[in-house]
Amino acid sequence: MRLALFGVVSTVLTIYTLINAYIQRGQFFSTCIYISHSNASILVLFSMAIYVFIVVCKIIQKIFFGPLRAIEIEHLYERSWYAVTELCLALTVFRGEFSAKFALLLTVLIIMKIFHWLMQDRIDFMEQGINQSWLFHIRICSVIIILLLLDTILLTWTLDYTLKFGISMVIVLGFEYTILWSNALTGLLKYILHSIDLRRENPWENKSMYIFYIDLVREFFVLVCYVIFFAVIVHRYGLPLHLIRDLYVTFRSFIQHCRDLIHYKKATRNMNERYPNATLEDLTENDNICIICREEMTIQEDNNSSDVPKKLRCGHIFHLRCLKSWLERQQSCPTW
Amino acid sequence: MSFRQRSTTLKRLMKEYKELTLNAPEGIIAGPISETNFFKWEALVSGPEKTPYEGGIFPAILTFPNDYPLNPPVMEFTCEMWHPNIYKNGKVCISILHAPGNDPNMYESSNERWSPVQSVEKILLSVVSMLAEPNDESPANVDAAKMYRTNREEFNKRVRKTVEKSLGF
Repeated sequence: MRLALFGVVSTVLTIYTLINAYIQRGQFFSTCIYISHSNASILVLFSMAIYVFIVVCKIIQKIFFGPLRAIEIEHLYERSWYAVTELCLALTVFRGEFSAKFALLLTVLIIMKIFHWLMQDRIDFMEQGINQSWLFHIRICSVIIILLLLDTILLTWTLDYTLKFGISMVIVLGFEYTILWSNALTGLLKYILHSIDLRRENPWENKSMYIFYIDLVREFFVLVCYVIFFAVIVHRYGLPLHLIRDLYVTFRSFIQHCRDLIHYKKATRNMNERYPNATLEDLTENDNICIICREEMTIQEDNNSSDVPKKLRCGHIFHLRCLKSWLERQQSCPTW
Repeated sequence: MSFRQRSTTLKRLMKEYKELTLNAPEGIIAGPISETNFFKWEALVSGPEKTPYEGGIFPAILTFPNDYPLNPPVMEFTCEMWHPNIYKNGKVCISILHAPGNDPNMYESSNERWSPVQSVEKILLSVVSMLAEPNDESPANVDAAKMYRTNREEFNKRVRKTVEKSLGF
Protein backbone atom coordinates (compact mmCIF):
# COMPACT_ATOMS: atom_id res chain seq x y z
CA MET A 1 0.00 0.00 0.00
CA ARG A 2 2.74 2.41 1.03
CA LEU A 3 4.73 1.22 -1.96
CA ALA A 4 1.83 1.97 -4.29
CA LEU A 5 1.54 5.46 -2.84
CA PHE A 6 5.27 6.01 -3.27
CA GLY A 7 5.00 4.75 -6.85
CA VAL A 8 2.12 7.04 -7.73
CA VAL A 9 3.82 10.07 -6.19
CA SER A 10 7.16 9.41 -7.92
CA THR A 11 5.52 8.71 -11.27
CA VAL A 12 3.42 11.88 -11.12
CA LEU A 13 6.43 13.95 -10.05
CA THR A 14 8.64 12.46 -12.76
CA ILE A 15 6.09 13.13 -15.51
CA TYR A 16 5.55 16.64 -14.19
CA THR A 17 9.31 17.41 -14.10
CA LEU A 18 9.87 16.01 -17.59
CA ILE A 19 6.93 17.88 -19.14
CA ASN A 20 7.76 21.06 -17.28
CA ALA A 21 11.38 20.92 -18.42
CA TYR A 22 10.36 20.25 -22.01
CA ILE A 23 7.87 23.13 -22.05
CA GLN A 24 10.49 25.47 -20.67
CA ARG A 25 13.28 24.46 -23.07
CA GLY A 26 11.37 23.13 -26.03
CA GLN A 27 14.21 20.98 -27.29
CA PHE A 28 15.33 17.50 -26.38
CA PHE A 29 18.98 18.31 -25.89
CA SER A 30 18.54 21.43 -23.80
CA THR A 31 15.86 19.66 -21.76
CA CYS A 32 18.38 16.99 -20.84
CA ILE A 33 20.93 19.57 -19.83
CA TYR A 34 18.37 21.45 -17.80
CA ILE A 35 17.30 18.30 -15.95
CA SER A 36 20.84 17.20 -15.22
CA HIS A 37 21.68 20.60 -13.79
CA SER A 38 18.64 21.01 -11.57
CA ASN A 39 19.00 19.36 -8.16
CA ALA A 40 15.24 19.02 -7.69
CA SER A 41 14.81 17.16 -11.01
CA ILE A 42 17.67 14.82 -10.16
CA LEU A 43 16.04 14.09 -6.81
CA VAL A 44 12.72 13.26 -8.47
CA LEU A 45 14.36 11.03 -11.06
CA PHE A 46 16.35 9.36 -8.29
CA SER A 47 13.22 8.52 -6.32
CA MET A 48 11.67 7.14 -9.51
CA ALA A 49 14.77 4.99 -9.97
CA ILE A 50 14.40 3.65 -6.43
CA TYR A 51 10.77 2.82 -7.12
CA VAL A 52 11.60 0.99 -10.34
CA PHE A 53 14.37 -0.85 -8.51
CA ILE A 54 11.99 -2.03 -5.78
CA VAL A 55 9.38 -3.12 -8.30
CA VAL A 56 11.95 -5.08 -10.31
CA CYS A 57 13.12 -6.81 -7.12
CA LYS A 58 9.53 -7.67 -6.22
CA ILE A 59 8.90 -9.13 -9.65
CA ILE A 60 12.03 -11.27 -9.51
CA GLN A 61 11.03 -12.42 -6.05
CA LYS A 62 7.50 -13.33 -7.28
CA ILE A 63 8.91 -15.34 -10.16
CA PHE A 64 11.63 -17.22 -8.33
CA PHE A 65 10.40 -17.44 -4.76
CA GLY A 66 6.65 -16.92 -4.77
CA PRO A 67 5.21 -15.63 -1.50
CA LEU A 68 7.78 -15.28 1.30
CA ARG A 69 7.37 -16.96 4.66
CA ALA A 70 7.23 -14.76 7.76
CA ILE A 71 10.62 -15.96 8.97
CA GLU A 72 12.20 -15.06 5.63
CA ILE A 73 10.87 -11.53 5.79
CA GLU A 74 12.13 -11.20 9.35
CA HIS A 75 15.62 -12.41 8.38
CA LEU A 76 15.57 -10.06 5.44
CA TYR A 77 14.98 -7.00 7.61
CA GLU A 78 17.50 -8.12 10.20
CA ARG A 79 20.26 -8.70 7.68
CA SER A 80 19.44 -5.62 5.63
CA TRP A 81 20.16 -3.39 8.59
CA TYR A 82 23.61 -4.84 9.07
CA ALA A 83 24.33 -4.86 5.35
CA VAL A 84 23.35 -1.22 4.89
CA THR A 85 25.28 0.04 7.94
CA GLU A 86 28.32 -1.94 6.92
CA LEU A 87 28.10 -0.62 3.40
CA CYS A 88 27.97 2.94 4.72
CA LEU A 89 31.03 2.24 6.85
CA ALA A 90 32.75 0.77 3.79
CA LEU A 91 31.97 3.96 1.89
CA THR A 92 33.79 6.02 4.52
CA VAL A 93 36.94 4.03 3.80
CA PHE A 94 36.65 4.65 0.07
CA ARG A 95 35.10 8.12 0.20
CA GLY A 96 37.70 9.50 -2.25
CA GLU A 97 36.68 7.16 -5.07
CA PHE A 98 32.90 7.30 -4.83
CA SER A 99 31.00 7.95 -8.07
CA ALA A 100 27.64 7.25 -9.69
CA LYS A 101 29.04 4.12 -11.30
CA PHE A 102 29.95 2.69 -7.93
CA ALA A 103 26.56 3.61 -6.52
CA LEU A 104 25.05 1.47 -9.27
CA LEU A 105 27.46 -1.39 -8.62
CA LEU A 106 26.70 -1.28 -4.91
CA THR A 107 22.96 -1.40 -5.62
CA VAL A 108 23.51 -4.51 -7.74
CA LEU A 109 25.51 -5.96 -4.86
CA ILE A 110 22.66 -5.34 -2.43
CA ILE A 111 20.15 -7.03 -4.74
CA MET A 112 22.48 -9.99 -5.09
CA LYS A 113 22.85 -10.22 -1.33
CA ILE A 114 19.10 -10.15 -0.79
CA PHE A 115 18.55 -13.01 -3.19
CA HIS A 116 21.34 -15.02 -1.63
CA TRP A 117 19.68 -14.67 1.78
CA LEU A 118 16.35 -15.76 0.39
CA MET A 119 17.99 -18.75 -1.28
CA GLN A 120 19.66 -19.78 1.98
CA ASP A 121 16.40 -19.58 3.89
CA ARG A 122 14.60 -21.60 1.25
CA ILE A 123 17.21 -24.33 1.31
CA ASP A 124 17.15 -24.46 5.11
CA PHE A 125 13.39 -24.81 4.85
CA MET A 126 13.91 -28.09 3.00
CA GLU A 127 15.40 -29.51 6.17
CA GLN A 128 11.92 -29.73 7.64
CA GLY A 129 11.42 -32.60 5.26
CA ILE A 130 8.15 -31.52 3.82
CA ASN A 131 7.73 -32.78 0.30
CA GLN A 132 7.74 -29.83 -2.02
CA SER A 133 6.02 -29.45 -5.35
CA TRP A 134 7.91 -29.53 -8.63
CA LEU A 135 7.53 -25.79 -8.84
CA PHE A 136 9.56 -25.41 -5.65
CA HIS A 137 12.39 -27.52 -7.03
CA ILE A 138 12.41 -25.81 -10.40
CA ARG A 139 12.44 -22.41 -8.74
CA ILE A 140 15.18 -23.14 -6.24
CA CYS A 141 17.34 -24.91 -8.84
CA SER A 142 17.13 -22.01 -11.25
CA VAL A 143 17.83 -19.53 -8.45
CA ILE A 144 20.95 -21.43 -7.36
CA ILE A 145 22.27 -21.77 -10.91
CA ILE A 146 21.57 -18.16 -11.87
CA LEU A 147 23.13 -16.80 -8.68
CA LEU A 148 26.19 -19.03 -9.07
CA LEU A 149 26.64 -17.88 -12.66
CA LEU A 150 26.16 -14.20 -11.83
CA ASP A 151 28.58 -14.45 -8.91
CA THR A 152 31.20 -16.03 -11.14
CA ILE A 153 30.74 -13.43 -13.87
CA LEU A 154 30.90 -10.49 -11.47
CA LEU A 155 33.83 -12.00 -9.62
CA THR A 156 35.89 -12.45 -12.78
CA TRP A 157 34.97 -8.91 -13.83
CA THR A 158 36.22 -7.46 -10.52
CA LEU A 159 39.40 -9.53 -10.80
CA ASP A 160 40.03 -8.28 -14.33
CA TYR A 161 39.37 -4.74 -13.27
CA THR A 162 41.71 -4.93 -10.28
CA LEU A 163 44.48 -6.51 -12.37
CA LYS A 164 44.12 -3.80 -15.00
CA PHE A 165 43.73 -0.71 -12.85
CA GLY A 166 45.26 -1.71 -9.54
CA ILE A 167 43.57 -1.85 -6.15
CA SER A 168 40.52 0.37 -5.93
CA MET A 169 37.04 0.31 -4.50
CA VAL A 170 36.20 -2.58 -6.84
CA ILE A 171 38.09 -4.84 -4.48
CA VAL A 172 35.23 -4.49 -1.98
CA LEU A 173 32.89 -5.87 -4.61
CA GLY A 174 35.34 -8.62 -5.50
CA PHE A 175 35.53 -9.64 -1.88
CA GLU A 176 31.76 -9.56 -1.38
CA TYR A 177 31.20 -11.65 -4.51
CA THR A 178 33.75 -14.20 -3.33
CA ILE A 179 31.73 -14.60 -0.14
CA LEU A 180 28.44 -14.73 -2.04
CA TRP A 181 29.90 -17.25 -4.46
CA SER A 182 30.84 -19.53 -1.56
CA ASN A 183 27.31 -19.06 -0.21
CA ALA A 184 25.75 -20.10 -3.50
CA LEU A 185 28.04 -23.09 -3.80
CA THR A 186 27.26 -24.37 -0.30
CA GLY A 187 23.59 -23.72 -1.10
CA LEU A 188 23.90 -25.99 -4.12
CA LEU A 189 25.60 -28.74 -2.10
CA LYS A 190 23.01 -28.54 0.67
CA TYR A 191 20.21 -28.61 -1.87
CA ILE A 192 21.65 -31.80 -3.35
CA LEU A 193 21.94 -33.40 0.10
CA HIS A 194 18.39 -32.43 1.08
CA SER A 195 17.00 -33.71 -2.21
CA ILE A 196 18.74 -37.06 -1.75
CA ASP A 197 17.38 -37.22 1.79
CA LEU A 198 13.83 -36.50 0.62
CA ARG A 199 14.04 -39.36 -1.87
CA ARG A 200 15.15 -41.89 0.71
CA GLU A 201 12.88 -44.28 2.51
CA ASN A 202 14.66 -44.04 5.85
CA PRO A 203 16.11 -40.98 7.49
CA TRP A 204 19.66 -40.38 6.40
CA GLU A 205 21.68 -40.39 9.56
CA ASN A 206 24.90 -39.06 8.06
CA LYS A 207 23.30 -36.06 6.40
CA SER A 208 23.69 -33.72 9.35
CA MET A 209 27.36 -34.67 9.48
CA TYR A 210 27.90 -33.80 5.81
CA ILE A 211 26.09 -30.50 6.23
CA PHE A 212 28.25 -29.76 9.23
CA TYR A 213 31.40 -30.37 7.21
CA ILE A 214 30.15 -28.23 4.33
CA ASP A 215 29.54 -25.36 6.72
CA LEU A 216 32.89 -25.85 8.36
CA VAL A 217 34.78 -25.76 5.06
CA ARG A 218 32.82 -22.72 3.94
CA GLU A 219 33.53 -20.90 7.17
CA PHE A 220 37.22 -21.65 6.86
CA PHE A 221 37.22 -20.34 3.30
CA VAL A 222 35.34 -17.18 4.30
CA LEU A 223 37.68 -16.63 7.22
CA VAL A 224 40.73 -16.87 4.96
CA CYS A 225 39.09 -14.40 2.53
CA TYR A 226 38.38 -12.01 5.36
CA VAL A 227 41.93 -12.11 6.64
CA ILE A 228 43.41 -11.54 3.18
CA PHE A 229 40.99 -8.72 2.44
CA PHE A 230 41.56 -7.19 5.85
CA ALA A 231 45.31 -7.18 5.27
CA VAL A 232 44.94 -5.59 1.83
CA ILE A 233 42.67 -2.82 3.12
CA VAL A 234 44.80 -2.10 6.19
CA HIS A 235 47.85 -1.92 3.97
CA ARG A 236 46.26 0.34 1.38
CA TYR A 237 43.61 2.42 3.17
CA GLY A 238 43.56 2.00 6.92
CA LEU A 239 41.32 0.09 9.30
CA PRO A 240 38.20 -1.32 7.52
CA LEU A 241 35.59 -0.66 10.21
CA HIS A 242 32.79 -2.35 8.30
CA LEU A 243 34.52 -5.69 8.42
CA ILE A 244 35.22 -5.96 12.12
CA ARG A 245 31.81 -7.27 13.15
CA ASP A 246 31.63 -9.86 10.38
CA LEU A 247 35.18 -10.97 10.93
CA TYR A 248 34.52 -11.44 14.62
CA VAL A 249 31.25 -13.32 14.07
CA THR A 250 32.79 -15.63 11.48
CA PHE A 251 35.82 -16.25 13.63
CA ARG A 252 33.73 -17.06 16.68
CA SER A 253 31.40 -19.43 14.90
CA PHE A 254 34.32 -21.14 13.19
CA ILE A 255 36.03 -21.73 16.53
CA GLN A 256 32.74 -22.94 18.01
CA HIS A 257 32.22 -25.38 15.15
CA CYS A 258 35.77 -26.69 15.45
CA ARG A 259 35.20 -27.21 19.15
CA ASP A 260 31.91 -29.03 18.45
CA LEU A 261 33.68 -31.25 15.96
CA ILE A 262 36.40 -32.15 18.44
CA HIS A 263 33.81 -32.87 21.14
CA TYR A 264 31.79 -34.98 18.77
CA LYS A 265 34.82 -36.93 17.59
CA LYS A 266 35.84 -37.50 21.19
CA ALA A 267 32.35 -38.56 22.22
CA THR A 268 31.78 -40.96 19.33
CA ARG A 269 35.27 -42.42 19.03
CA ASN A 270 35.19 -46.09 20.00
CA MET A 271 31.65 -45.75 21.19
CA ASN A 272 31.50 -49.47 21.73
CA GLU A 273 34.43 -49.50 24.13
CA ARG A 274 33.82 -46.09 25.57
CA TYR A 275 30.30 -46.66 26.81
CA PRO A 276 29.61 -49.94 28.57
CA ASN A 277 26.70 -52.09 27.45
CA ALA A 278 23.84 -51.95 29.89
CA THR A 279 23.40 -55.13 31.86
CA LEU A 280 20.15 -56.94 32.47
CA GLU A 281 20.01 -55.47 36.00
CA ASP A 282 20.48 -51.97 34.64
CA LEU A 283 17.51 -52.47 32.36
CA THR A 284 15.22 -54.01 34.96
CA GLU A 285 16.17 -51.56 37.70
CA ASN A 286 15.31 -48.53 35.61
CA ASP A 287 12.68 -47.93 33.06
CA ASN A 288 13.78 -49.92 30.03
CA ILE A 289 12.43 -47.37 27.58
CA CYS A 290 14.96 -45.45 25.46
CA ILE A 291 13.95 -41.84 25.97
CA ILE A 292 14.99 -40.90 22.43
CA CYS A 293 12.92 -43.33 20.36
CA ARG A 294 10.54 -44.30 23.20
CA GLU A 295 11.05 -47.97 22.53
CA GLU A 296 12.05 -50.83 24.73
CA MET A 297 15.69 -51.71 25.08
CA THR A 298 16.66 -55.34 25.28
CA ILE A 299 19.96 -57.12 25.68
CA GLN A 300 21.33 -57.86 22.20
CA GLU A 301 23.11 -61.05 21.22
CA ASP A 302 25.12 -59.29 18.55
CA ASN A 303 27.47 -56.76 20.13
CA ASN A 304 27.76 -54.77 16.90
CA SER A 305 24.03 -54.26 16.48
CA SER A 306 22.91 -50.62 16.56
CA ASP A 307 20.21 -51.58 19.07
CA VAL A 308 22.70 -52.37 21.82
CA PRO A 309 21.69 -50.44 24.97
CA LYS A 310 24.57 -48.23 26.08
CA LYS A 311 25.03 -46.75 29.52
CA LEU A 312 26.40 -43.24 29.98
CA ARG A 313 28.46 -42.17 32.95
CA CYS A 314 25.43 -40.40 34.41
CA GLY A 315 23.56 -43.71 34.46
CA HIS A 316 21.13 -43.04 31.62
CA ILE A 317 20.71 -45.75 29.04
CA PHE A 318 20.02 -45.37 25.30
CA HIS A 319 20.16 -47.39 22.10
CA LEU A 320 23.54 -47.05 20.43
CA ARG A 321 22.00 -45.59 17.26
CA CYS A 322 19.86 -43.10 19.18
CA LEU A 323 22.82 -41.98 21.28
CA LYS A 324 24.98 -41.52 18.20
CA SER A 325 22.47 -39.40 16.34
CA TRP A 326 22.02 -37.22 19.42
CA LEU A 327 25.77 -36.78 19.97
CA GLU A 328 26.00 -35.40 16.46
CA ARG A 329 23.92 -32.46 17.63
CA GLN A 330 24.91 -32.01 21.20
CA GLN A 331 27.72 -33.54 23.20
CA SER A 332 25.94 -33.99 26.48
CA CYS A 333 23.41 -36.41 27.93
CA PRO A 334 19.96 -35.73 26.42
CA THR A 335 18.34 -35.68 29.85
CA TRP A 336 20.30 -32.61 30.91
CA MET B 1 2.03 -34.47 -0.56
CA SER B 2 2.90 -38.12 -0.66
CA PHE B 3 3.44 -40.28 2.35
CA ARG B 4 6.90 -41.53 3.11
CA GLN B 5 8.04 -43.88 5.78
CA ARG B 6 10.54 -42.50 8.21
CA SER B 7 10.67 -45.32 10.65
CA THR B 8 12.13 -44.03 13.91
CA THR B 9 10.40 -40.70 13.82
CA LEU B 10 7.13 -42.19 12.74
CA LYS B 11 7.16 -44.84 15.44
CA ARG B 12 7.84 -42.30 18.12
CA LEU B 13 5.10 -39.98 16.85
CA MET B 14 2.61 -42.85 16.83
CA LYS B 15 3.59 -43.76 20.40
CA GLU B 16 3.13 -40.21 21.57
CA TYR B 17 -0.23 -39.99 19.85
CA LYS B 18 -1.36 -43.18 21.54
CA GLU B 19 -0.25 -41.96 24.97
CA LEU B 20 -1.93 -38.61 24.43
CA THR B 21 -5.24 -40.19 23.49
CA LEU B 22 -5.11 -42.67 26.39
CA ASN B 23 -4.38 -40.21 29.18
CA ALA B 24 -4.46 -36.67 27.95
CA PRO B 25 -3.80 -33.91 30.46
CA GLU B 26 -6.66 -31.55 31.05
CA GLY B 27 -7.21 -28.81 28.53
CA ILE B 28 -5.11 -30.32 25.78
CA ILE B 29 -6.00 -32.29 22.69
CA ALA B 30 -3.58 -33.15 19.90
CA GLY B 31 -3.32 -35.54 16.99
CA PRO B 32 -2.32 -35.88 13.35
CA ILE B 33 -4.49 -33.92 10.94
CA SER B 34 -4.75 -36.79 8.49
CA GLU B 35 -3.82 -40.44 8.70
CA THR B 36 -1.52 -40.20 5.70
CA ASN B 37 0.76 -37.57 7.17
CA PHE B 38 1.92 -38.02 10.71
CA PHE B 39 4.27 -35.04 10.49
CA LYS B 40 1.51 -32.43 10.81
CA TRP B 41 -0.61 -32.35 13.93
CA GLU B 42 -3.45 -30.20 15.03
CA ALA B 43 -3.69 -29.24 18.69
CA LEU B 44 -6.35 -27.52 20.75
CA VAL B 45 -5.20 -25.63 23.81
CA SER B 46 -7.73 -24.27 26.25
CA GLY B 47 -6.89 -21.06 28.06
CA PRO B 48 -5.81 -21.59 31.68
CA GLU B 49 -8.23 -20.59 34.42
CA LYS B 50 -7.91 -17.27 36.23
CA THR B 51 -6.11 -15.70 33.29
CA PRO B 52 -7.57 -13.49 30.55
CA TYR B 53 -7.25 -16.52 28.26
CA GLU B 54 -9.76 -18.47 30.36
CA GLY B 55 -12.56 -20.03 28.38
CA GLY B 56 -10.80 -19.74 25.05
CA ILE B 57 -10.01 -22.73 22.87
CA PHE B 58 -7.05 -22.03 20.63
CA PRO B 59 -6.27 -24.22 17.62
CA ALA B 60 -2.63 -24.68 16.55
CA ILE B 61 -0.65 -26.66 14.00
CA LEU B 62 2.46 -28.63 14.96
CA THR B 63 4.91 -29.43 12.14
CA PHE B 64 7.49 -32.09 12.94
CA PRO B 65 10.92 -32.25 11.29
CA ASN B 66 12.24 -35.42 9.68
CA ASP B 67 14.63 -36.04 12.51
CA TYR B 68 12.14 -35.57 15.34
CA PRO B 69 12.78 -36.11 18.30
CA LEU B 70 16.35 -34.88 17.74
CA ASN B 71 14.95 -31.55 16.61
CA PRO B 72 11.83 -29.83 17.92
CA PRO B 73 8.59 -29.30 15.98
CA VAL B 74 7.30 -25.87 15.00
CA MET B 75 4.08 -24.75 16.63
CA GLU B 76 1.82 -22.13 15.09
CA PHE B 77 -1.53 -20.97 16.33
CA THR B 78 -4.06 -20.75 13.54
CA CYS B 79 -6.29 -18.28 15.34
CA GLU B 80 -5.54 -14.70 16.24
CA MET B 81 -3.38 -14.54 19.37
CA TRP B 82 -2.26 -11.61 21.50
CA HIS B 83 0.65 -12.69 23.68
CA PRO B 84 4.24 -11.48 24.19
CA ASN B 85 5.73 -14.86 23.23
CA ILE B 86 3.64 -15.53 20.14
CA TYR B 87 4.58 -13.92 16.83
CA LYS B 88 1.89 -12.03 15.01
CA ASN B 89 1.73 -14.87 12.46
CA GLY B 90 0.94 -17.33 15.27
CA LYS B 91 4.36 -18.96 15.70
CA VAL B 92 5.08 -19.85 19.30
CA CYS B 93 8.46 -18.75 20.66
CA ILE B 94 9.43 -20.58 23.86
CA SER B 95 12.79 -22.03 24.79
CA ILE B 96 11.62 -25.66 24.75
CA LEU B 97 10.84 -25.28 21.03
CA HIS B 98 14.34 -24.04 20.19
CA ALA B 99 16.78 -26.49 18.67
CA PRO B 100 19.74 -27.52 20.79
CA GLY B 101 23.12 -26.05 19.99
CA ASN B 102 24.29 -22.53 19.79
CA ASP B 103 21.77 -19.91 20.76
CA PRO B 104 22.07 -16.96 18.39
CA ASN B 105 20.77 -14.59 21.06
CA MET B 106 22.78 -16.20 23.86
CA TYR B 107 20.23 -15.76 26.59
CA GLU B 108 19.02 -19.32 26.88
CA SER B 109 21.29 -21.98 28.28
CA SER B 110 21.04 -25.24 26.38
CA ASN B 111 19.34 -27.10 29.21
CA GLU B 112 16.16 -25.06 28.78
CA ARG B 113 16.06 -26.00 25.14
CA TRP B 114 14.72 -28.89 23.13
CA SER B 115 15.99 -32.38 23.84
CA PRO B 116 14.54 -35.80 23.01
CA VAL B 117 13.31 -36.06 26.60
CA GLN B 118 10.65 -33.50 25.76
CA SER B 119 7.44 -34.51 24.04
CA VAL B 120 4.33 -33.08 22.44
CA GLU B 121 2.61 -33.28 25.79
CA LYS B 122 5.36 -31.30 27.51
CA ILE B 123 5.34 -28.71 24.74
CA LEU B 124 1.61 -28.18 25.08
CA LEU B 125 1.86 -28.00 28.88
CA SER B 126 4.57 -25.36 28.59
CA VAL B 127 2.39 -23.46 26.16
CA VAL B 128 -0.42 -23.48 28.71
CA SER B 129 1.91 -22.17 31.40
CA MET B 130 3.27 -19.63 28.93
CA LEU B 131 -0.31 -18.38 28.46
CA ALA B 132 -0.66 -18.07 32.22
CA GLU B 133 2.71 -16.40 32.72
CA PRO B 134 4.03 -14.52 29.72
CA ASN B 135 7.77 -13.95 29.60
CA ASP B 136 8.22 -10.34 28.54
CA GLU B 137 12.02 -10.55 28.74
CA SER B 138 12.42 -12.03 25.27
CA PRO B 139 9.25 -11.07 23.43
CA ALA B 140 8.24 -12.34 20.00
CA ASN B 141 5.49 -9.77 19.75
CA VAL B 142 7.06 -6.56 21.02
CA ASP B 143 3.82 -4.57 20.97
CA ALA B 144 2.05 -7.15 23.10
CA ALA B 145 4.99 -7.28 25.52
CA LYS B 146 4.98 -3.51 25.85
CA MET B 147 1.25 -3.46 26.48
CA TYR B 148 1.60 -6.30 28.97
CA ARG B 149 4.13 -4.31 30.93
CA THR B 150 2.65 -0.85 30.79
CA ASN B 151 -1.09 -1.27 30.40
CA ARG B 152 -2.29 -4.58 31.79
CA GLU B 153 -5.96 -3.64 31.60
CA GLU B 154 -5.77 -2.88 27.90
CA PHE B 155 -3.78 -6.09 27.37
CA ASN B 156 -6.41 -8.20 29.13
CA LYS B 157 -9.16 -6.53 27.10
CA ARG B 158 -7.34 -7.29 23.87
CA VAL B 159 -6.85 -10.91 24.96
CA ARG B 160 -10.53 -11.28 25.81
CA LYS B 161 -11.33 -10.17 22.28
CA THR B 162 -9.15 -12.91 20.78
CA VAL B 163 -10.79 -15.42 23.13
CA GLU B 164 -14.22 -14.42 21.83
CA LYS B 165 -12.92 -14.65 18.27
CA SER B 166 -11.44 -18.10 18.85
CA LEU B 167 -14.86 -19.28 20.02
CA GLY B 168 -16.49 -17.82 16.94
CA PHE B 169 -18.46 -15.00 18.56
